[in-house]
Amino acid sequence: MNALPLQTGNGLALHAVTPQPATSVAVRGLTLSYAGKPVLDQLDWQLLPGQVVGLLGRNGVGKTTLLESLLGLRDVDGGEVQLFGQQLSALDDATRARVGFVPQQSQLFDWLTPRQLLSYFKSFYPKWNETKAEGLMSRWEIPQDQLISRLSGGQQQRLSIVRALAPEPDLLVLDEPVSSLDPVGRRDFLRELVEQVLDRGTTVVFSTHILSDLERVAFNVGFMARGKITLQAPLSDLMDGCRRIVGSTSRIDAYVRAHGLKVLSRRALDGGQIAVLATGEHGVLPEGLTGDRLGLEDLFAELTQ
Amino acid sequence: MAEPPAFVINPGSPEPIYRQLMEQLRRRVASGALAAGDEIPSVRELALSLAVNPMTVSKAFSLLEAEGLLERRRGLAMVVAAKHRRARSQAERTALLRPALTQAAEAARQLEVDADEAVDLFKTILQEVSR
Amino acid sequence: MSAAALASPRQQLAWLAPARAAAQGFINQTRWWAWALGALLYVGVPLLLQALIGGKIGLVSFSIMLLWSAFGLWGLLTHSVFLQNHPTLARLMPGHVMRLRLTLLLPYFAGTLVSEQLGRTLWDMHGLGTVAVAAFCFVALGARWPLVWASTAVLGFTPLVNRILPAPLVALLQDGVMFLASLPGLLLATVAGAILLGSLVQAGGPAHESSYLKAQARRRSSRSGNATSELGWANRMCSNAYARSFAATLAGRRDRFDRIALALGPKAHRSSTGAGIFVMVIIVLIVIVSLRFTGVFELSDKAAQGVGNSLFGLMGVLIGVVTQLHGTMVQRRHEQAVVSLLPGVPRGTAFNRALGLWLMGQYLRLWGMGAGLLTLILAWLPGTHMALLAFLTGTLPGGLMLWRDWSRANRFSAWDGLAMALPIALTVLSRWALEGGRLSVPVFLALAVVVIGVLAAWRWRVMTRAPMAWPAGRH
Repeated sequence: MNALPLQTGNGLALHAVTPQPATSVAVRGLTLSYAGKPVLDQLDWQLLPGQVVGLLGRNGVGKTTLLESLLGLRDVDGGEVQLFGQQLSALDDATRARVGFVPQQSQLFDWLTPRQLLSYFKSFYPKWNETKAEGLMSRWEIPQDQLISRLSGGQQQRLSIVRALAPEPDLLVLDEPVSSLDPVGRRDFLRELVEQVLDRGTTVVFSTHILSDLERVAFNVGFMARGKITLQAPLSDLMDGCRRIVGSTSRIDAYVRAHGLKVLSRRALDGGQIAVLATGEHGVLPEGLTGDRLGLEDLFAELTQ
Repeated sequence: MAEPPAFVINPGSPEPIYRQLMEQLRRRVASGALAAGDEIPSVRELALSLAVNPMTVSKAFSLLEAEGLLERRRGLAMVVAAKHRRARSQAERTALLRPALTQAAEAARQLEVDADEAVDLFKTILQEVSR
Repeated sequence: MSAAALASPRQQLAWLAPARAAAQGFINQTRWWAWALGALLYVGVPLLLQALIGGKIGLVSFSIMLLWSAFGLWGLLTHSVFLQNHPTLARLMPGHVMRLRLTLLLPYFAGTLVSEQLGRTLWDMHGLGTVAVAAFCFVALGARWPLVWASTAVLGFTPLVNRILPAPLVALLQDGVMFLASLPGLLLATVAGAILLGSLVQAGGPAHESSYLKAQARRRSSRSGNATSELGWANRMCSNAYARSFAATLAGRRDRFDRIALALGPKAHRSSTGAGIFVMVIIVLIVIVSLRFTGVFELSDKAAQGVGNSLFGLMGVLIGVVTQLHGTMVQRRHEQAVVSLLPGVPRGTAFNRALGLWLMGQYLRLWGMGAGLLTLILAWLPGTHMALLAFLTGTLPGGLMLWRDWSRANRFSAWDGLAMALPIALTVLSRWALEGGRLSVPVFLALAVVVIGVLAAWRWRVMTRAPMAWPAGRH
């Protein structure tokens, strides 16, 4: 069984590291409050080129806020963000052209047709993959010459995705990009993402509640809770190395100490017992303790409380 | 390859996807569906068809290569290693049964079922299944 | 974008993208009959005037129409640029904000130059360029904040500026106007206008987001025929009245259909529709008082004409009320579907009857309010009485538009527009009949009763024979 590697080439976890120019996104000390309540609390984060990171968190924890702050769409109270080594406040056009964003609600010009919309956007970007755009439009069956206001929600969302993918960005930020798509549409979209990553090494960060999608496509996952990224690690390492152990506090503490495990979360249960998520080299469980390996859904529940 | 083998991914299970892929590849080789020298789909093909991150597929392949099940060839797709010339021996196949039995054993322990009773039950089920 | 990229013709044309999008948006949303109508007007009106009056009138009217079109195009362009000026795009799209600004500034500079040149060559007039600057800026401001258009009401007072303002201030204003007409003044005005136009295109941030959201909400509500008030305090007053009435209705102190009609939401409620009429009457009052104050009133029949014309504004409010009710009906389909399934709600023809009576009740209540207030105000103004009578009889059948087959109602169609013209036509007709003395009052009234009675019978028949009105627009 593998120990949870806390220091790997991809997906650095909890320590704040000085951003190197080779990072795609470097976030340091990001702070933002709404109406007195902190949404982002000294948040640190890092994305390396080619990483596909899934952002997980409960509803309302601020995932959208974080993603928007990453791109400078939301002004923050403190901290800094660097995209491709450039400060967010001083983004030049070349860097802007390398970023693609798919928001949760499609922000398209609904008074144009898809063909007109895409040609509008094409005129702003130095790189535009016309063949890919056409291919996606026909494969996803989006009518090119109908007013966008008359398209269904799913078609609009797909158009939003095409618009973000066509300029061949190096950084792709997606906020619940598939919420309106049916299972086939979602699978198709995931394949597109995989192809982007394969061909161009695009850095992808996306937030979604559809864990099965995330598990397929994201190599790393980042959990967000209480205004911070509490954990970021490769998903397979997390699943291999974590166990949920249930038992009395004293026995669990002893076990954890005995094997030098790292406790990721702790939750009180009825009857004086606790449930602990521990990672490391597990051994044989002593009497009175039960341990399970967890799927992503359970990991999500434990790590985002 | 006659046709691309259909791998099944089960997201949501406690087993990471790379392990599921490894397990399925092992089973195919063990049962003879993939013989020595047979090409396996490239990382790109598998990643695209399953909509899975290529690094996951790559990790599975690398680990299987380390195990000796797969062989890398320069500039070409990976193949099943030469030493797996025939289907595995009974002993090797029995060893592959270990993970499933381990799960059953843990379940038995949680339910506090006696070892002898558990074995009897297993024999009964084996008979039922082979009918 | 690098200089090399700019050199290619494709990239050069790319700079036109916002303007092209504006044109495409307009073409996309204009129905075929509007094009036909437009062509007809452009060709037909000058020809007609030429035939009727002769001389240069054809050419003059055509050039005036061209001028209007230039304004219209500029209005379209600014409107579209502000639509394109989305806060996310402003931050994420390379060069978006700058290109939008250029899309505004280039035609602006060109137009100003051309105007100044035309003014000097054709009419030997200086300062037309400054006028153009003012016009460009005004239209652009109006595209951002529609409320700006309301300030045109003040324009009516400009001839009276000599009487209203003290003499030294008037002299100062005249000097200022002279300066602006000169070349340095024009330069100053052009630069100031450019800065203003540039600032109207925003570059992202929370202020941009909130203004964009507000504009979006405004557009959505005006598209569906629902009026919103720009004035926050008016909204709050209405919502208080609504909240009180809501509770009262549910407590059963009102008749049953009022409870059902709650499904239409606050915009269909008497508090919001009545407020519009109230405000309009206040405005009429202000106009009258100010006219009297400035002594224009001495010319009594001219004043009567003016007041009669201002009654048209009130007509606009009544029509607006009907439009609003129409829009609410169409918009609240989902609520209507839910309510129409509740126990105790009448079905089929019985429902249509109840709805018809309720709608007409709403309209008559408002009409009665407006009529009463107007009569009160105009009673001591001789010479306006005929206009008032014409107005009252012309607008009374306006509510008949609300008796229709609601199950087939959709967003405002061309027929609805024509139907709205009916009260206007009737009022004009009645005025013509009454003021010229062509019909005596009793004969006119008898005729009116007959006409309105026939119309009412026809519309009632249509309403009661139609399928159940709710949910509206399902066919």
